[in-house]
Amino acid sequence: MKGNRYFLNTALTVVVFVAAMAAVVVKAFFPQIIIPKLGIPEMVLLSLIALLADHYLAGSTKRCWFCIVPMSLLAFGLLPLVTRLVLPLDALWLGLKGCAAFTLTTLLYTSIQERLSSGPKAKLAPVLSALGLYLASQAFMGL
Amino acid sequence: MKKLFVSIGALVLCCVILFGVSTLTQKIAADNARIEKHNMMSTLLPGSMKFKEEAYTGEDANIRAVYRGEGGYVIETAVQGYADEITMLVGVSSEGKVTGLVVRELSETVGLGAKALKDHKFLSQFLNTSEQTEVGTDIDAISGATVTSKAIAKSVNSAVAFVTGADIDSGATAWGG
Repeated sequence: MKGNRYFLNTALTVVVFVAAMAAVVVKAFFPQIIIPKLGIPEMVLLSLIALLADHYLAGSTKRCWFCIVPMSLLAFGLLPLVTRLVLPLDALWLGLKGCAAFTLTTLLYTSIQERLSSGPKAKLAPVLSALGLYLASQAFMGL
Repeated sequence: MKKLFVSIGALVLCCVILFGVSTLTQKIAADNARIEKHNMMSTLLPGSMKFKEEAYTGEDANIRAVYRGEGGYVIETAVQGYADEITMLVGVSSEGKVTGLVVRELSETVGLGAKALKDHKFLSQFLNTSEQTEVGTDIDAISGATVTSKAIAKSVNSAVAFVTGADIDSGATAWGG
């Protein structure tokens, strides 16, 4: 798994899958719980979880930028569609928004990560960078 | 390249599992949603156990559905909030008094408008009101979420007006005002 430049795509798929599965289970068995809509901050959050998983499990800043766009489009569009919680047109819109959010978040995160002068003891630096980006996305949505 | 196919395979596998689980739970989800909605409506209109959906033919764009209960109505409303539509159920007695209200769907800002989901102090201000209410005059808004507060007041006003026949301006205005 170490150094796998495609691992980020798999990580994103798994993270979105877990979120979608949670939504299906909650909708079926706990309908009283209000599920937040999948908006830009939620997409950024899922993207950051995938990026952190990629950092700690694959440990590579090399990305297959060519794959990121179609894979994120499919992850954010196709997975919600097969849960039948969204309509096809909404799924397409989610896919496009998710693709934009993931690509931009990956660009920013990778750029920060490459400039982090963290020694071997600075294990929390990527998490703090991710937290900063998430807060930035919230602030962006509040504009 | 082989590793790329692993990513694609993972996506396909996730799609198949999700589709399977979604198909298996579809009927359970529909049944539970119906039961939960019925229980919620019984809470909003105390004393009523039976509800019948009635076709709404009025002009108020905020009203989505009307359920007639014993001694009143539960009205489903949808009003534009700050970020997106806020969907609510409002219980109104036959005398036009608000007997209960609950937010069903909301996408407002976390920490501000999203407080409307659980802010009992704010929501309880609408209970037992039978007149048109206005945020700032009759109702104290949620701190930092005036737009959301106004949208909720608008929902309640629409529900009350449906029962009392009051004439209100239901037109969607900017910021749910």
